[in-house]
Amino acid sequence: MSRNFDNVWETTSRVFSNTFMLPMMLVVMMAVPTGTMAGESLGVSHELDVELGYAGRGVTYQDGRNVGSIDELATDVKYVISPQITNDLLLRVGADWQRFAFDTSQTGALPDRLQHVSAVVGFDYQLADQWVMRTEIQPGVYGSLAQIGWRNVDAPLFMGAVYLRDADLQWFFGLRVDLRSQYPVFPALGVRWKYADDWTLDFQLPKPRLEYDVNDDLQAYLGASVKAGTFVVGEHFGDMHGNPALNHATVDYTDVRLGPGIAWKVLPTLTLEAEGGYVIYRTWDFFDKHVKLDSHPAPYFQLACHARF
Amino acid sequence: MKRLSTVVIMWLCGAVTTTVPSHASDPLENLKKFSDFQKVDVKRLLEGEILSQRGPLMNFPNGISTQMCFFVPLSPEEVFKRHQSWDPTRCSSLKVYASGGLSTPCQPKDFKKLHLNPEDHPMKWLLEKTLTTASGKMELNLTRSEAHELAACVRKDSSPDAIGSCWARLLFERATAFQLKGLGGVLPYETEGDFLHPAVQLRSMLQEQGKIIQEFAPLLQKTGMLGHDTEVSSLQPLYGWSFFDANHHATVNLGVVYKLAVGDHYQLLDIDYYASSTYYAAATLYEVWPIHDGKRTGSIVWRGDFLAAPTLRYTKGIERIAFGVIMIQEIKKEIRCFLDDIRTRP
Repeated sequence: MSRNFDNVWETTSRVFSNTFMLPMMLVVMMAVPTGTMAGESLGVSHELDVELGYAGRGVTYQDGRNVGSIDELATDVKYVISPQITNDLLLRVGADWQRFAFDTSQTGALPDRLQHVSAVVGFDYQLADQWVMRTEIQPGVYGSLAQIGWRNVDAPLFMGAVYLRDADLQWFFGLRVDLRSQYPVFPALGVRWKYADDWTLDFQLPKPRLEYDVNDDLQAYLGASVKAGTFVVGEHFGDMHGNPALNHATVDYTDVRLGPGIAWKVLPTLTLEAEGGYVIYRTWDFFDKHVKLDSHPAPYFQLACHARF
Repeated sequence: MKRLSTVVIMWLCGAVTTTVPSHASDPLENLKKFSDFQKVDVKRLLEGEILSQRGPLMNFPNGISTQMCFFVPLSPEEVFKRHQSWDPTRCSSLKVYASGGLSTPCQPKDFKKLHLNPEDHPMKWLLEKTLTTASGKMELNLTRSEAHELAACVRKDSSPDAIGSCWARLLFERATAFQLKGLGGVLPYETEGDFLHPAVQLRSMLQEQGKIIQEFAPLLQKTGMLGHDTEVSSLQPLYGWSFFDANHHATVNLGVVYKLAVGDHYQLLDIDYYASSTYYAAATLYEVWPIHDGKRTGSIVWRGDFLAAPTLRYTKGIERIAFGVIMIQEIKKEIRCFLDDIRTRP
């Protein structure tokens, strides 16, 4: 028998690091009698992802005007529990908190923090022999948590499908839908290709990487990382920044990081990552108010912990 | 079919088999009784489709299973004959370095094709892990005593050829113990104070397959798979070994195949009772029926694969589904290699 499928664990845990679900399907799934749920411990899986990163000061411009140097502290904590409903269907329920804290400028229209707290609701499903999909929706509050209202409520949808050709090659198709964003629908295509015994091209958004297996437990990589979100700022944000039009405005925040890192599998269920490099692109885009800020490159360092149990 | 079986099974045609009272059987009705294939479209099988089904979650945390069904345009007897001439090393996608049958009693020379090439990355991995074992770490599937023996052997000469010979010696001793005592002779793997018994792993997986156990009861009973370790099979076993790339790691294994004629068809049990790394143990059950459909005659083959691997304990959720999907793809690759060989070498 071929035993060449052992690296699937790593593959798929990376593949589905950022995905979601259709509300209607959820209703259908919730209606499934609990008696059909797998009763063993293997029938329920848990995912915990924690990331903490600091980006140094980068000179920032608002529509061409220097508004000072801004640094950033980014935090992301996500927990998902995934009970198996049938042999082909897994439910996903959890929570996610993501926060960007900025050393704000008095002269620029920069929020001091952008964050979201959301539920995670979704499912994984085996569509066909070699196709597996994930759909996930994250309904929650996006923006200033100090003033929570309906304007802050959003529910971005993430859908992904994987074609598992074999143990060394998988193709990914993804879609992000966020009706509040400047780009409400964002498609993505990716591939994971272990093209040599030690080397893997893991080209998937939001974290495309070129990986080198130092040994069975340690991996070095050169990668990029895209952090993005759509948020609504506070009702007096514009007043405080000299532009009342920005009160309750929607802002698309995007930063792109590039740098090397290492991933250490401390335990079979726990991986720690450390990476550093440069934030090569960072923008706050109040797109419907035609106000945009962007930063010069700045160094960053990030630690992450990924547990699967 | 299974990598080990591809080589070992070839002796099956001439092997002494135990026969139960003859009766004609309907493969489709039989499949419905014990397999996950409740509706089988024979037309699709005859066109060359390989039906597959990922098994449900097991209570046994290290286990995973799949089922396959396919058509071979040869009679059951001819299927076995073809295996006699099929060399899996010819199919490069299977990444088999070497394989062969074992004499009874086993001889050290049976493993003469085992060579470790440090230029080959997966083999280099095995060389490095062997040297690590010599330094006291238990990262391969060995007993403490075997690890010490391997370490002593490697200390004398750590060249790749010498390390290959050390492994040949270890395999010879394990194969000899199995030939004398059956599953009772299989030594456990010792990892961080734990004892992992391949026989226990195999039985744990099979015991969860109620309908399959019922279908294969005579075969499983005669091979000691359902009983105690001390039972030695009353069937004529065919022993073998193979050396292959499993997940970019060179792995050596030892296996045995048992065959039972049941009326007009055959049942087989193929066990990997030892693997140096990557997985603990594996069992594959086959049932092969003759089929006649118009002008076409051949065999319907059902196979169920049961694999116990260390990583499976930690592989849950979508990762486990993906594991099963890829396991099926890898087994299909093997089946297609065999079918291609039949087509290209009539």
